[in-house]
Amino acid sequence: MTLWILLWGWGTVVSLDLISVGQVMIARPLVAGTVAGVILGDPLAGGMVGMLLELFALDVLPVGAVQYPDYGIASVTAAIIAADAPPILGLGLGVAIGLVVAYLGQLAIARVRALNSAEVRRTAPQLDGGDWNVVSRIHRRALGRELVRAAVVAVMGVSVGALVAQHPLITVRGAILLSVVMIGAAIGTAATGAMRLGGRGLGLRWFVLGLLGGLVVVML
Amino acid sequence: MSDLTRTFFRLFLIQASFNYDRMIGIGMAHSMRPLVDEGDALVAGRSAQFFNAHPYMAGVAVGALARAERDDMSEAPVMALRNALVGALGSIGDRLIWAGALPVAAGVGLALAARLDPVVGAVTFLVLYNVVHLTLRWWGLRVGWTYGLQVATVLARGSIKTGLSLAGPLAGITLGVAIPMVANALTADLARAETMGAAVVAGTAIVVSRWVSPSLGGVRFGLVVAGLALIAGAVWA
Repeated sequence: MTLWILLWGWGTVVSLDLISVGQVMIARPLVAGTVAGVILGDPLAGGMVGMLLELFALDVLPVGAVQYPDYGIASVTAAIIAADAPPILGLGLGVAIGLVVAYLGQLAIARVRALNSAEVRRTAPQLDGGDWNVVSRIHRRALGRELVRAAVVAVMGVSVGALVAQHPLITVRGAILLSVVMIGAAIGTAATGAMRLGGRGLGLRWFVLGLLGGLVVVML
Repeated sequence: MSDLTRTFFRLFLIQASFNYDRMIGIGMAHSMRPLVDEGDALVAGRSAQFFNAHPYMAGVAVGALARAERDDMSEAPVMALRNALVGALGSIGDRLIWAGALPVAAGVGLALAARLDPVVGAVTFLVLYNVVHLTLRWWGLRVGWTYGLQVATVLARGSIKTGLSLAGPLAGITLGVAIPMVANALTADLARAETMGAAVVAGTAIVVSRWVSPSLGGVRFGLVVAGLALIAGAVWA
């Protein structure tokens, strides 16, 4: 029981860190997945799903009001599924289910933002009139909504993870195939993100130079 | 705890009340509150208006606007500064952090996780990233509070320009090095044919995401191929 409470707590914390509280990047999959793996007693499995989901996460720059998937809780879910499973069997299934959770988390964030907007519109006269107490109240209530959202999304992620880990409902061949395509999709997604980051000119050349360097390191 | 320190800690929650009407405007006002005259309703009204910026750079605006209000500047220059900082702080922060420090730290963390140990990679990522993050947050609040309406002169300094010009190339080269290393670690347990299959999917992802449907995004592409793999796996069995 303590294990699941720890995972739920960690899932809630990383879901909050994603945008609202701190943004110290413990929500990044590399961190969220590895720590979930440590909690589960299988840091390698957590690290593997963390690396894979981190590649997906490199596709999205959290610029402005962009909505991004909740990769933190997704990593916790994926680590639960991958922990103690043979590496190549749990990896793809964990990450695929993690992506679904990440997307649902993204929808929950949009819902909370819409609720915040409704409250701001409702209290616009007091805000424009300069009532500090209304400012603080809106901020506190929005923080409360975020806490509830993160806790609910974490419950969902941990429950789904536990359920799929116990009843994978997938053949060995299917699990291998899923791992192969998820690894390929993640690498392709990260490469596209990096190319987008570099643009067309000099930045792209730096990326290609890095790729060559990385290939040399791999071959050594 | 000084008022500036209280504001610094409040900056970590600046996006908690993010909304589509005023973006981080409410969070800005909440962060500024320890630094301004709470008896002045006009200040409160102005502070909670629309504002958006990179969350780490918002401290520059919080400090500068609070200083201007504390110095009893009239509404016109305060609102002019507020409007001018929206675009500038968003652009600088996005390029410096989201397109610079974050991919660089992630690239280093991924490379170390793939080569050494995931825990080493994760810890290195967190330390590297947060040295930049926390320094920028504190520096931003301090220069804003020190320079007030003149804060634009600081943002135009050479050190910021140097950082902006280095961010993109550093991110590109770091991710370039990290991706093959991670790919190598992830495919270590795969048979040769399976590795080739992963390479084909990776190539397809690049073509689809870059040229065929750039708006698709990594998650949706991943979900589509996962669905196809599950169907293929069921048929294959």
